[in-house]
Amino acid sequence: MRKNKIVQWVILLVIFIVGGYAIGSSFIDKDERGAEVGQISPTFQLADLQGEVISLSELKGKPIVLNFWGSFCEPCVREMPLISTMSEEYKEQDLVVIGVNLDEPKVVVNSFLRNNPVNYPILLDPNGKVRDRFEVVSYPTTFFINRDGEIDDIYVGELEQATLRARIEQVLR
Amino acid sequence: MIDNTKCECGHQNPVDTILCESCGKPLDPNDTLEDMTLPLEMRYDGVARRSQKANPNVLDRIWNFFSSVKVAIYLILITLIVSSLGTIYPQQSMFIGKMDFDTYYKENYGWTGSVYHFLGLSNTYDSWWFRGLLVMIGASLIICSLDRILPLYRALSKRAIRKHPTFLLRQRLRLDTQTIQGENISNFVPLLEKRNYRVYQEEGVLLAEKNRFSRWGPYINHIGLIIFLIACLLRSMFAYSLDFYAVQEGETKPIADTGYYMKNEDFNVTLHPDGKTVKAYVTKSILYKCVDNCDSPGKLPELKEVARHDIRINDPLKYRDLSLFNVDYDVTPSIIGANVQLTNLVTNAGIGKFKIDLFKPQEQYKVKDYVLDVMAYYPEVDLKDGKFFTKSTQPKAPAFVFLIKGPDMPAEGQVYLYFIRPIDKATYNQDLINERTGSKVKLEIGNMQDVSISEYTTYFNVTKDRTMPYIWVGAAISMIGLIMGFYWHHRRIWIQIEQGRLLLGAHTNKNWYGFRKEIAAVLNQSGVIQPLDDQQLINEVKQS
Repeated sequence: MRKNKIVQWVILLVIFIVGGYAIGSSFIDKDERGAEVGQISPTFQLADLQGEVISLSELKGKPIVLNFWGSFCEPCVREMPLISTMSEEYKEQDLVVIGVNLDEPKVVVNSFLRNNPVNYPILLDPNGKVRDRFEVVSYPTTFFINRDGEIDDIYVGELEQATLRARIEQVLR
Repeated sequence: MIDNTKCECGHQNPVDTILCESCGKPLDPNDTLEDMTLPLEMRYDGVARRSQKANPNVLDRIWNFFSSVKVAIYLILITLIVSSLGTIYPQQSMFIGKMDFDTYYKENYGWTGSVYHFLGLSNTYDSWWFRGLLVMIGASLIICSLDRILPLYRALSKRAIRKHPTFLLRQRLRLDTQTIQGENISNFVPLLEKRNYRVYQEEGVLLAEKNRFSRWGPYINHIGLIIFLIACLLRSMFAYSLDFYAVQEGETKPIADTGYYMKNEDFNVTLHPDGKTVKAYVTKSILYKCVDNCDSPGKLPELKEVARHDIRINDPLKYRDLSLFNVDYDVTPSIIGANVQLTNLVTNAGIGKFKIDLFKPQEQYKVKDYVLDVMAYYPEVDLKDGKFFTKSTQPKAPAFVFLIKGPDMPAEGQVYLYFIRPIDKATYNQDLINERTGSKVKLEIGNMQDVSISEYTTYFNVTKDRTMPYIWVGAAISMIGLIMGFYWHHRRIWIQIEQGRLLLGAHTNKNWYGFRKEIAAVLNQSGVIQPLDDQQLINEVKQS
């Protein structure tokens, strides 16, 4: 009889653990995906046009403006000079601005930047891996990441000076 | 209070046993006088379920809850209802990317949509409560089976041949009559054995039994279902799937998060004579595995071919646990490569050819003594405010700005504008512009064979999943169990002869009339009793 009891407990325990894991994983799945306001930003390692690797996790502690753009996207191209100016203006205050190109061939990006220079690093995202990780579906999309590595705001569409400035001021705090 | 559960035959039965496990004497203390004449409840052969206890504790209570068939039926009903509710509106998992589901359901389906989303039905199948229901059904399957199969096994394998007379006389199929000659019970043995019965004998009593294995059918079915359920659960948690993965003809593209790349070499579609309906489509495809530089930014991954297959509908490319199914295609004409001829304009002599991959153009091309630097590349060129730009990343109208250096050319090089499509060449006056810069060379494409065109984009569904074989195994076991239980019936006959009186009781679970005929034939052939019509055998048909 005692042996039966132990067997019963073991069976219940196994059901409890397997079942608990199955039920619990329905919560975890959601958190793993995507980049949402208030969440810790996903990380990445990407190379710039010179092949130099920039890693987001190494920039922790600094406020970051992460801009997804493509030379084929008119509003992206229009907002780039503004982002460049702001990047210069807030450089002293630790602000890091990064542009992630949306899977264009290197020659395209190079020739574009020759005619439209910016003063912040542009990273190449082959096959759009990082774009997918940040769940960017329309361009431009700009992420504002605070010093704790948390996503403070996500702006979809062309930025205007006032909007951009307000959001930068927000992450500088 | 401890019940005395010892039967008069001396066997110690567990609490709540209905029929003595050994001699079959009815033990239910609640039986009224009237009950005493009714046919016996033979379910599980009257044994107590394993969890039935006199003083249940917490463990027993949990165990009892899951051991109840009533609970199991409610769980299945609830799961059925919520599963069907989940099909009313599209599930959240159908959508890709960030979405505000609150507004989506409200705008598309009105207040019912809002309620639907609020109740969490928009995410039914991945929700904790749906999984909870499945887990509870699983627990119920396991515990219900265990709780019944062990005592039933004991009752069926370790039973006494000599039964209490009440046990025989309260069977649905029974006979109480006088013998006409002798009392030799062995007369029945060859007759029963001819009918595939296994006969067990003791002094003046026998038990004939066949197809006992069919009693295990439901439990084998449950084992199959448990395997099936666990495999489904694992599949929903770990299986990888990627829907509508688009690869253009000529393109090599990574399959996200798998380390595999696939190349769409060629796509072909055949239409029925009506010219509209698709008859078949085939994708010639190659699967690569990334072996080096898979995740090093700025470096090209090193790929190794692992499989090659012509994918058709329902004939996926399979490699290990990865499957790629053709699901759709699109006409997306674009130029993916060009073999360009460099010609000396003065002598009109050809200098050489070079190949451009329009998905991944190089930064520099060399032809004999000439060097061509790519100053700009516009995959889909357009003009705005006097500036060229590209409308997309697709090489639909590719245009290049080269800086060409070479013999008889200025030392700093000469800018050359080059459009691959003749129509763009004309629109943007390529020749006129290049003439003005005084170019001494020209770029051109000889004929259409020098251009690689991609007409189609194929869409694939990709799955990566190791659980599928277990799902099949589970389904097969469950089917075997069902067949065992459905097509064979457990038949038992008890016969006792004592002082010229023959007592017979018989039990089966299906086809009582066939069983009765079989018994009547055995009795008549034995010559032990007066020949009887099979309808003289008492056979009480259950009212329910």
